[in-house]
Parts: sequence; C-alpha cells; structure tokens
Amino acid sequence: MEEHEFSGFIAEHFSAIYRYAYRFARDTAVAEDIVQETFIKAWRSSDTFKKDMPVAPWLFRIAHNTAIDYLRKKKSIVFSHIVTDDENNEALFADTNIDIMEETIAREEKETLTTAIESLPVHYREVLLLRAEEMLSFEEIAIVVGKPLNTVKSLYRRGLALLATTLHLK
Amino acid sequence: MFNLTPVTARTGLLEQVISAVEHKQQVSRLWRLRVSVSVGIASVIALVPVVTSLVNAFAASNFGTYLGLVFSDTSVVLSSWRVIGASLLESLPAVALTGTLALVGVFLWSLRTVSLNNNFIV
Repeated sequence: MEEHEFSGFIAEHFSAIYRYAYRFARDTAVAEDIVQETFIKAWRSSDTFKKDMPVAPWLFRIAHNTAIDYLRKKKSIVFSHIVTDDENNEALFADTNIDIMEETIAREEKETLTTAIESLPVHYREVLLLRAEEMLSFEEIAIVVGKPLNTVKSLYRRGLALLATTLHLK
Repeated sequence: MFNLTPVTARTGLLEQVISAVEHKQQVSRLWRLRVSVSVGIASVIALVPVVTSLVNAFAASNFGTYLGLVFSDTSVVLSSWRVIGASLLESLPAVALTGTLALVGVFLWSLRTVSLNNNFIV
C-alpha cells in the first residue's frame, strides 16, 4: 500500500478498531494507545499483506496482539487461566440453543447488555464482540484470536451461556 | 446482532493516529534517504581506485591482444573461435571487473532509493 493511501485506510477502519480496543480494555486511554499502536504496526507490515486476503481479520489480529501485549505489560489481565477452568461445567452449557439464546439476549436493554458483556472474562468477551458487533465469521475470528475454529465456536457458545446467566435469563 | 451502547472515540483521535503514522513514515523515509545517500557517496569514492585498478589490470592482461586478433586476423579467429573465446575470457581481470560492476550496482541502487524517497525533499 502506498503511504499516501494509508491515511484513507486508517479512516476506513478506525471506528471498528477503536470500538474493539475499548471493549477489550474497558479504558479510554488504553484503548487510544492500542488503536495508535495497531495502525503503526499495520503500516509496518503492510508490505507483507496479500491484497486478495480480507482486511478485517488481518487488522483485528494486529489489534488483538497489540491489546494483549499492552495489557500484559500493565498486568491488567492474567492469562494463566485463559485456558478455561470451566471445562468441568459442561452441564451448564449442554442445553444451549444458540439461535434462541442470541434472540433472547438481543432483546435485552442496551445498557444492561453492554454492562453484562463487558463484565465477561476477556476470552469470551472478545469472541462475542467480534461475532455480534463486528460481524466477523467464526473462521475470521479464529484468525484474529489465533485459536482453532472449534475452540472459537466453543468459546462463543459458552460466552453466550455465561452472558445469559449474567443477565438472569437462565 | 446485539444492540450495544455505542462507542465513539474522542474528537481528534483519528487525526492524532494519522499524524503519528505519518510521522513514523517520515522518520523511516529520512533514514532510508540518509543511508542511500551515504552508500551512494561511498560507492562513488570507492569506484576511483577500483576503476584505476581495472584499467591497469586490462593493460597488464593479454585481453587487448586477443581482442585485436578479431580485427586483424579474422579468418584465424573464426577457425579457432573456441580457443580464442576461452583465451579472451581467461584474460579478463575478473576481480577488478567484478568489483567495478558491484560498485556501479550499489551506486544505481542508492540513486533508485533516493528517487523513491525524494518526496521528503520538498
């Protein structure tokens, strides 16, 4: 990408990346730093980006890595328990019907839903937001978070169930 | 899918981010310009002794003699073109020639890099 084209690229994707960074970090100042660093890294690696590939997963992947590095340095999140310890709670999620749950959750009031999503652990929150707000496919989300497709679908399903519990819908 | 509370960045953040990236681009461009100009100047300076060495090497070799045969004794050259050709190649001052070509290549690369980054010079 030519240098003079890059400012247009930033303007096109700025809102989505800021939204993602803010929901991830839940802090305005941190989100601003993440956004700036993301676009600087995107410019640096723009030569290696293949033009026939979709932009969103590539850019969100950079944002994801930047956010994790940033928050690790600030020790805002501990990643040792990202490999979830609720593996043993399969029963909690056994009867989840994704479509019905999505419809039910979507009817919730805006502020209540936002607060509930932002209270979720980061690995669920991120997958839910990339799917429900940024409208990425599961395959694209798998690229962003660097996890296998089935793991992403599982995180989404469990995230929905946890969200429903948080909203007292179960 | 989910209707969430909108998130909008503060006024001016987009311009700040664009400005930060443009600053990085300019710093990178300036660094490339400095390196290419330095390398270009160094290659020109280095060319002087290398070309002198090349000229001396050509004078000392039999390359000129074999090449002269092509014009003075064409029939002999045509009948023994393989031997004459091999002799011409063997008499080339390979090291000096390689050095000269390499330095010319480096100089042309530095010219190209300067021209690609010349929008910094306004």
